[in-house]
Amino acid sequence: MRRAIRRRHAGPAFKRAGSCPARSSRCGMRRRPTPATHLLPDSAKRRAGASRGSGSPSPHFSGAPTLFVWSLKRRADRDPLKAPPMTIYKFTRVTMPPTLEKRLEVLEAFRTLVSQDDEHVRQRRAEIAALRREAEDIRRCVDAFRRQLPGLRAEILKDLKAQKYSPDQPRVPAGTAHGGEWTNGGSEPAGTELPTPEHPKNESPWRVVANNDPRVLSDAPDATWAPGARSAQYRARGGGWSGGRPVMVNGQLLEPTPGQAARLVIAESNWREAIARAKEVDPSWHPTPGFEETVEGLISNLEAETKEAETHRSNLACYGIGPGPFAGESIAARGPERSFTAVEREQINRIGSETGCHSCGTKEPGTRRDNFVPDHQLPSALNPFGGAQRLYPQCLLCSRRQGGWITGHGGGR
Amino acid sequence: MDFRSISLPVSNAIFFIFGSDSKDTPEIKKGSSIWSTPTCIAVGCTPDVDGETKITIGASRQVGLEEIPAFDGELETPSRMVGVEVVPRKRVLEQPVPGSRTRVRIWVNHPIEPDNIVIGLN
Repeated sequence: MRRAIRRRHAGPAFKRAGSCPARSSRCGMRRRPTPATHLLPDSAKRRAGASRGSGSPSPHFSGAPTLFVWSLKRRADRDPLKAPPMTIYKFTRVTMPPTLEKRLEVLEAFRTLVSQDDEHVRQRRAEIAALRREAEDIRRCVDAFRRQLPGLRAEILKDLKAQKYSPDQPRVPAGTAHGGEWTNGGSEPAGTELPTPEHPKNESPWRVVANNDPRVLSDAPDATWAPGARSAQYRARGGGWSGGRPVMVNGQLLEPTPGQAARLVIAESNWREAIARAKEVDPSWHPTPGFEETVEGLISNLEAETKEAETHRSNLACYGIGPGPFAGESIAARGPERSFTAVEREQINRIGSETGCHSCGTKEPGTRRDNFVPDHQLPSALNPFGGAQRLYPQCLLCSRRQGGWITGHGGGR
Repeated sequence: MDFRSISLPVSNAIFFIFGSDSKDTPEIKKGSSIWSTPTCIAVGCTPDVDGETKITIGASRQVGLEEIPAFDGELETPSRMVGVEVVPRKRVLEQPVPGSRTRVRIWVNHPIEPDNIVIGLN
């Protein structure tokens, strides 16, 4: 019957092609199924059906033999002895155990294997999600660094200018031990000190100038620093930490992930800056201590204390401790003395009439003579080392509030 | 009880009367020139840039005025001493008192910005 069907469908094609049925059979026509007619679009299927003419529903010989034989003929004309390539399909039979119990065992084993695969996939997905989170953390940290970069650069340039930095100063030529470093024209870099009995040459020759500038935040144990030496000690309460090393948290050494390490660096830097700024105006202030058991907890506590310090500083500004939220223009103070020239009084009154009290913003001084009170910032009581001060206009009430706060906190340092 | 007096420019236009080493200063609010807690009385005065303020402290029967005082209250004086301090906690006047609680009356010559202040103690 199959042969009859084949002959009926292949007949016209053979006639058109002028080819021999036996030859086509020998060349694999029977083994080669229709070349994926089920994958053809409907229009193509219709065309294929029309070419057959009979509209036979047979799925195995749906018109394709015509084309195949035509191409076969062309090949046979070129090389009659070479058969066209053919695809041999291998049908495998799944051997199933004969009994139901065995089949059940096989199914259970199969299910176990599949569940193991699922668990493995879940673990991998969790790992990938964690890596993605860390990558996101690192990206945020990099963004934060990038945002802070202009400010840091400006500060560094300002400091360099204060130190009479000159970009034209010669450097030690490359290829030497101190290549690239500033020099006065000699072979030694400008900052190198000669060995002394206290500091022989075999010790680290690098020393930084003892820094009394409160803006510079360093917790280095002393003024010496050596390349590779451990610096950036983590706050005393938490233990020591420098990037890439385990963190001491609540008496335990914990290894932060790269993302946590980056966030920890940022959080610690912000924490130090905020605490220093708060203590600058209120030395007796301490943040509310937190408790941490994990690196994440440590980071959260640092961030919380940073926020607390900033809030405290902001609250103090409302008491006239530090330039207030309405601080605008100011003039340099000649010193902590409360004797002001007529020009200074006039300037303070002008600034006050323009921007108001630096603490509360009112443009009414509240005094009998309508004079703003020239206010030293930082307040002289909180400036024991005689740092540079600026004068801001302040109203009478805010001036009294400031006095009340200073007195209530022991009168300064 | 003797009385003492001093004239000086008062920074921050405020001074404090303490009966102990307390740091409990009152909250400074708008609408008044004298604020108090049980251990401290804050008195607003003329800003130092506008001139000096004369402060007199003594027994009420010696320094007291006929007018109604701007403040009449009690101050805890466990140290048996009443002190006048200016910012930053600089004691400029002291007056011994007999008891651990002292009645304090204050007369001022201006409601907001006085430059003559009399402190009477009982």
